[in-house]
Parts: sequence; C-alpha cells; structure tokens
Amino acid sequence: MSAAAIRSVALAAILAAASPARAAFEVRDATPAALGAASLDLASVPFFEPAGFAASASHTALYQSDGLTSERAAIAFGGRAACVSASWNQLGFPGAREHVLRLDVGEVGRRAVLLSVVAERLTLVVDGEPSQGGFAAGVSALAKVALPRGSLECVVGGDRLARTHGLDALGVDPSVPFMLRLCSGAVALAWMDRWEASGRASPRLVLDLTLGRAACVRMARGVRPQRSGAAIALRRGRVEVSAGRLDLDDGGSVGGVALAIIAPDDTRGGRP
Amino acid sequence: MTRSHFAGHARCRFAMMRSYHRLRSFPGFAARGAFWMFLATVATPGIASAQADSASGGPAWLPLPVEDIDRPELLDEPFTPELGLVVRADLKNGALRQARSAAEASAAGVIAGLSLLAGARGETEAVTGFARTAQLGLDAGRLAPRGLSRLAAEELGLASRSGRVPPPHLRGPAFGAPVSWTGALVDGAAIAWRSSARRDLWALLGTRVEDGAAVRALGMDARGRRLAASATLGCAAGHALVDIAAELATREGRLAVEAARGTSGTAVIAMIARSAGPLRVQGRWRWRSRELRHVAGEIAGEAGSRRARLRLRLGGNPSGATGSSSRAELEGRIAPAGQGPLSFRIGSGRTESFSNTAGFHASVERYAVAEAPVARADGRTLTLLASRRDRETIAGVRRGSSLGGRLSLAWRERATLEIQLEAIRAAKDGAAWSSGLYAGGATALRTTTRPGVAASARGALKLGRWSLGGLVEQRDDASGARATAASIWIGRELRESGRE
Repeated sequence: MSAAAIRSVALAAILAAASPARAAFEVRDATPAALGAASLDLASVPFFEPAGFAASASHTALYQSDGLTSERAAIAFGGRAACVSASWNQLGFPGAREHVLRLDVGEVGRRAVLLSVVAERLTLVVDGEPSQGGFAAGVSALAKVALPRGSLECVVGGDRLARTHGLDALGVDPSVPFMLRLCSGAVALAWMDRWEASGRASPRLVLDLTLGRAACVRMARGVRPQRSGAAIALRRGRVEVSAGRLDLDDGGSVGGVALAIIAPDDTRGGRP
Repeated sequence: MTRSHFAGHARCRFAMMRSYHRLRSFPGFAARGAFWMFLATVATPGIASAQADSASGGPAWLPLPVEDIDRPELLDEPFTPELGLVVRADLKNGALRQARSAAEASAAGVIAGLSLLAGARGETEAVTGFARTAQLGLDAGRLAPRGLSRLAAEELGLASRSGRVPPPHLRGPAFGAPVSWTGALVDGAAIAWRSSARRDLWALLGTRVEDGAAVRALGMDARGRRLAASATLGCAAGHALVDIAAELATREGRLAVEAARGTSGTAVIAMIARSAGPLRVQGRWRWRSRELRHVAGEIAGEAGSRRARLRLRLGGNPSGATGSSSRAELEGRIAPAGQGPLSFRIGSGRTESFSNTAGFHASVERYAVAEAPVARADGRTLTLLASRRDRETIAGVRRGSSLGGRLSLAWRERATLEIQLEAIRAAKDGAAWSSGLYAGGATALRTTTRPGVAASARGALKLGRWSLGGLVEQRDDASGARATAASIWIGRELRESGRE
C-alpha cells in the first residue's frame, strides 16, 4: 500500500471514529453554522437571511487531534433573481488534506419553488503523492408554503449526483438531503436528514432563535451518532462573528469560529 | 378521424420475459433513422398508442407497483395521440441503439404503416405492418395481442395465469405492433371488420413466438344501449377454446358475466358494480373448475367527497395446490383548498404455501406509500415521496423504505421536465419501493432490494408538429455500483394541435 493510500485511510479513519463522516469529503461544512446544527455532512443554513455581498472565513478544530483542522473561506453575492456563492474549504492534518472548491448558484425571490445547482472540485492532497480527485455536481429544490402564522420550507436535494470517475476510488457517493423547516417570527424548527447510497441516515432536529437583528442562537440534537450542537452568531454593523461546538455523546468534540464581513441590501430577497 | 379496429382496447396481463426468435438482420441505426425521417414528410393520421392503464379499479391515485400493472410494456412507449412518426432510441453502456420506430401514411382512404422494434443488442425483434380503412383492418408480422379477454388469453397461451380476478371482457382485442420485446407475441396476421352498428368481427392466425405453437382465434362483439355481448372461438396447440361474455349496463351500475371453456377446464367470472350517492362498490368473483379451491374474489368500495375520498379493496385467491394469497388495501386522497392532493395507500398482504420439502411457509407484507405536493406555482411543483414495506416471515421482519422528491417544471404547454430524487433503504433480504419514471409519461413503483440513491429526469419539448423527449436514469447502490440508462424519442404529429 502506498504512503498516499495509508494517509488517506488514516484521515478517513480519524473522521470515521469520531463523526458521521466515514469517507473522503464527507465533511461538507464545519463552520459554526453547521456545528450548531450538528450537521457536518450538510451545507449549513446561514444564521441570518443572506442578502447583498458577504465574505467569510472560519477555522475549526476537530476531535482534539493535533493538526486536524478545517479552514474555509467563502464569498457570496445575492442579486434580485439569484444568489451566487463560492467557497474554498480544506480539511485534514499536515501531510494529508482534502480541498473542496464549491460554486453554488441558487434562485432567490418569492417563487414557491426555488432551484439551485452546486458544482464542486474535490481534491485529496497527500505530501509526496499525486493528488486525487474530480468534479461533482448536485441540485436541490426549495419549496415555501405560507402558513397562517409562519411558513414551512421544504428542501430536497441530490448531492454529488454527477461525479467524475476520479471520485469513485475515494468513495464519494451521492446522497439525498432533506429539510423541513417551520418558521414563525423569531423561531425556526427544522428536521434535517441525509440518506446515503449505503442506506445510512443521520437525522437531526435544529432550533434557531433570533434575538432581534443582532444575535442568533442555534441548538441541535442528532442521532446515529448521538450528538449535540450549539452555536451563537453576533452581528454588529457589517461584521458578523460566530462560534459553534459539536459534541458526540460517546466522546469527541468539534469547535470552530468564523468571521464575516457583510454588505447588507435590504431591498433584495434571500434564499434561506 | 379514422381509427384502428384494434386500437384502444382493454388490458391484457403481462407475461414475464420470454425468449424470442431473432428476425433477419436489418440495416443499421443511421439507415433506419434516415428512412423514418423520410417517411415523416409523408406521415398522415393513424393509431393512437394506448397509454398503460395501471388502475385495477379506476384511475390510480398513486403509482402502482410494476407487478400489478396489466400492460407494463406500454410504460416505455412515448404516448402522444396521432403520432405519424415515432422513433425511440435507448442509451445503455454508452451506446445508443434504436429501440422502436413506427410511421404511417394514408392515401385514398387507406391508412398504412410499418413498425420496427429492436432488441437489447440492437437486433431486429419485430416488424409489423398494417393497412386499414374505415371498416376493415389488417395487421401482419409480429403482433402483440392487447385487450384479449383474460380467460381467452390464458387458454391461448398469450397471458400467464392470473391470481387476480379481472373484469369480464366484452370488447374486441387489438393485434398491433409490439412496443417492447417482453410479453406474449404472435407471428401471423389479424383481420378485423367493424360495422356502423357497433358490431365487430375479428380473426387471428399465427404462431406463438415463445414456442412456435399454432394459434387461431375468431371473435365477435356487439353492443347496444344497455346490453353487450361477445364470443371468442380459438385453438392453440391443438386445444380448443370457447369464451362467451355478456353485460347489462345501467346508469347506476353494471352486471357482467364471462365464461370460458378450454384445456384447463371451465372458468366463470362475474362482476357487479353500482354507485349510489357518494358510495361506489364493485365485486368480482371467479370460479375455475379444475382447481382444488375453485373460487377467488375481490370487493372494492369507494366513498367521500371531492375534497376527500377513500377506497377500500379486499381480495384473495388460491395459489397453486395448497397456497393462497390475499390483500387488503386502503387508499385515500385529501385535497385541501388551494393545495395539491395528499395521496396515501396503506395495505397488507398475506401469502401462504406448503410443500413437502419446505413445509408450511407464510409471509405477511405491510406497506404504505404517500405523495404530498408541497408547493405548486408558476409551472413548478415539488412533491415529496415516501414509502415503506415490512415483510414478516418466520425468520423475522425485513424493512425497506424510500424518501425523495419530484420536481415538475412546465413551460407554456410547450416543454416539461420532471426531476426525481430518491434515497432507498433496505435491510438484508428486505425490499423497498422506488418510484420509477417511464418514457410513456407514467410513474410506477419498482421493487429494489439494495439501499441506494436513484435520480431520474424526463423531459419533453414540442416544436410545432414535432416533439422531442428524453429520459435519463442513474442509480448508485450500496455496493458502489452505478448504473445509468437513457432513452430519447422523436415524434411527429399528424396534425397541428387543435386542428381536426
């Protein structure tokens, strides 16, 4: 077995031992917004309604393992008809790291059904070895239903449905994420899950509580594996600071912080 | 419009995959494509392909399991009425192969057409031609029998023996071009004559493709305002068949009886259906003389308002010498004001058998299927899909479930696109259902025994008299295997929409 393979296996093994992530590129998002939702394996829902331009950076330490960290930088622009975001994420330890470049284009506005498309470039880099990886793409649909005192949002997606052959060897499989989110005023309650090709699922319940326009608290409880998440975000002017933590019942924790610069535009709609 | 003597008839149960004789080789894909494109310029009105009618007791509220569909081969056939030309090709393992082509033209009151069906490896499986006038029709070549009485089809070896109790059949059959190489086929010729007084006469002469046995049949049917009757005489592999059916229909109900006598004895089917206010009921009963347990029956009831309706079905039949199979099913449809209808089906089935080697075996299956449109506006609809199956045997309970969504997009009645995503979970030796999109426009439940993620998309675009369509499916299962399949089709209508 080559050194690259050994290090890849080691990286996957560390993640497998401590999190729902069991193969390469299983961690999609390790920002505080995702940690608070106990959802490393799903793209996070922003704390606040995105609008205008935003740039953010985050750092996350995983499972108290030396050097096992995740860094992410992202920019997003919300227009009148669409929201475009691009992010770069790296995860791993010195000598073996995953890099994910992600481009997300989604409709925004008041239509009842909004569509989005995601394209990703996934690369596994092991020192001294040629990098491995490929491209993946997915789609999702968001439906909004107005209720007498709130709204219901339903998201169904196909994550990494289309993949290049380079990702097959890394165990990158498609999955179907779901979300049902009930919103009423400052409170939102979401049931989220992700069903994988292997038949594995990891449901979670996420509570969002917005305190005015300046703060948001997020708490979550997930099963398979049993876990809890909590996060807080504070916004003042154009600056948003957030911190989050994910704890597994059988040990292991993930903690992260993020900083975002926002140029809000209240005239534009947003995709939650 | 002149219509086929054989078109649009009732169902015929699907016989599982059979072996077929290969016809002589036919020129390649490009040559055939060019030939059909040429014919498109002279195409004129003709037969409307029959859409797969998957309902056993009326229009289905939810997709049915493929194994419960009477003519599953029609699921793959693009259905557009009055197609003068249709070309369908399948993409598998990266290779595009022509699957079916058909074209027809008319002159001096005679419509003539030709259909070509290719097999899985591109070989020619069936060539069928037809010619018809307003009263007389002739089909020749490799024919697919459709709408033949269920009892008669079983005796002629053109359908497998059914456990379910079908309704008595009083309309003449259709012997048209096959749309799939599965199902029972006949090499031969069929002729039909239709009088203006609602009387039909038909005859079939040929050999079964499956085993080469000679098949001959002759039938007639007549319909009045309230009474209808039909008779079929036939002979297959030297065994004779007589089938007689009669029906009395009123505004409130229907009473029908069919009796057949052939090599497997005498069989009788009786059906009564009646509606009164919000209640509709139907009962079917079958008796077979040479079975140890002679009788099978099904009853169904439906009640409710336009906003909420419920259907209950109970049925059971003997299976083999010692076995039995029964099913109870409740279907519901609730349509809140301004919202799409929430449809659900819950049911339970029990199968019992006994053999000297395996002893007594019983299994109970419980299942639930639901579809709920979450939002619908601006030509877009998002529907959530969910299903669950539990199979209980002496070895324990095996579970399977699926969860997904279907996004439907429509653009000015000119283009449609459906995208369906579904995740499937199935325990070892368990089975789950996944919703499958078919080229013909229908959706049916397929049984799968492995976890996985299935994605499929079906689209159609209409440009004047031309219509283009495609279907792509991809499935990734737990073993890491990925399977992709696709179909594309091109059709040309005989007239502009809305014109006579």
